[in-house]
Amino acid sequence: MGMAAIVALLGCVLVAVASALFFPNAPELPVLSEGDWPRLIVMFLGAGWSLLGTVQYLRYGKGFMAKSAMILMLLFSLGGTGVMSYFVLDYTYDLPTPVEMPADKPIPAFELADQNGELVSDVSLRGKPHIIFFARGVF
Amino acid sequence: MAVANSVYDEVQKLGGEIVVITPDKPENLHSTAEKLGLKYPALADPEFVAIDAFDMRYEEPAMGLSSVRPAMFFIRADGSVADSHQTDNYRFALTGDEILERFKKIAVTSP
Repeated sequence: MGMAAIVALLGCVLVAVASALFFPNAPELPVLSEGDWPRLIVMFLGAGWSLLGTVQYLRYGKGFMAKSAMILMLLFSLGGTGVMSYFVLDYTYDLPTPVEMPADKPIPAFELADQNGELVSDVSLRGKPHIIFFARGVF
Repeated sequence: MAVANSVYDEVQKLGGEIVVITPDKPENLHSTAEKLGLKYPALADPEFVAIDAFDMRYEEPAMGLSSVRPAMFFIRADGSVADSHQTDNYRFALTGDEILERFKKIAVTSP
C-alpha cells in the first residue's frame, strides 16, 4: 500500500508545484512556463495520480487516520486543480472589451495624491512623455 | 506593479515619468509603497475619479465589487495619447522590455 500512498502524494505535489507556477514572480521553468497548458496538464496529471493512489489505498489500505489523510490530499488535489483551471481558463479572461482612447487628443483631466501626499495631475505631467498605468493595486 | 518599478529608472533617463493609478486608499498606499520600495508615484483614486474619466472601471462578477482593469497609456509630452495597452487577462501584461520599446518611440517623437 506504500506505493499507492506515494503515487497519491506525488500527484498532490505536482498539483501544488504547477499551481504555484501560476502566481506572479514564480520562477521561470523550461517548458512549464511556456503558456498555461503545460502547467494545466501537469496539474491534471497530478490530480489523476492523486485520485488513482487514493482509490487504491482506500480499497486495500488500513487505518482510519491514514485513509482520512489520503482523502484530504485528494480533496486538495482535485480542489486545487478545479480552482486553478477556472481561474486560468475563465476568470482572468472576464475583462471587458478594451476602451478606445482617441489618439492625438488630450487625456482626461485628473488630479490625485501620490503615496507621499503630493498632488499629481495631467497638467503637472505635461512637458515630458509619460506612462500611466492602471492597476488594482501596487503589489 | 513590479514591472513599473523595474523600468522606472530607464524611463527617467529618457526624460519620462511613470505614474500608477489604483483604487487604493491613500493611507494604504503610503505603507505599501514604503514596504515595496516604490520608485514611481502611486496615485490613490478610491473614488474612481480618474479611473472613470479613462473609462477603466470594471465590475468584478465574482466579487460584485468595482475594480480597475489593468491598462497602460503611453502619453506624449503634449498630453495626447500615443499608444495604449489593455489586456483581456489579468495575468498577461507587457514585459519591461516591451514597455521600454514602446516608450522609446514616444520619447523620440515627443515635442
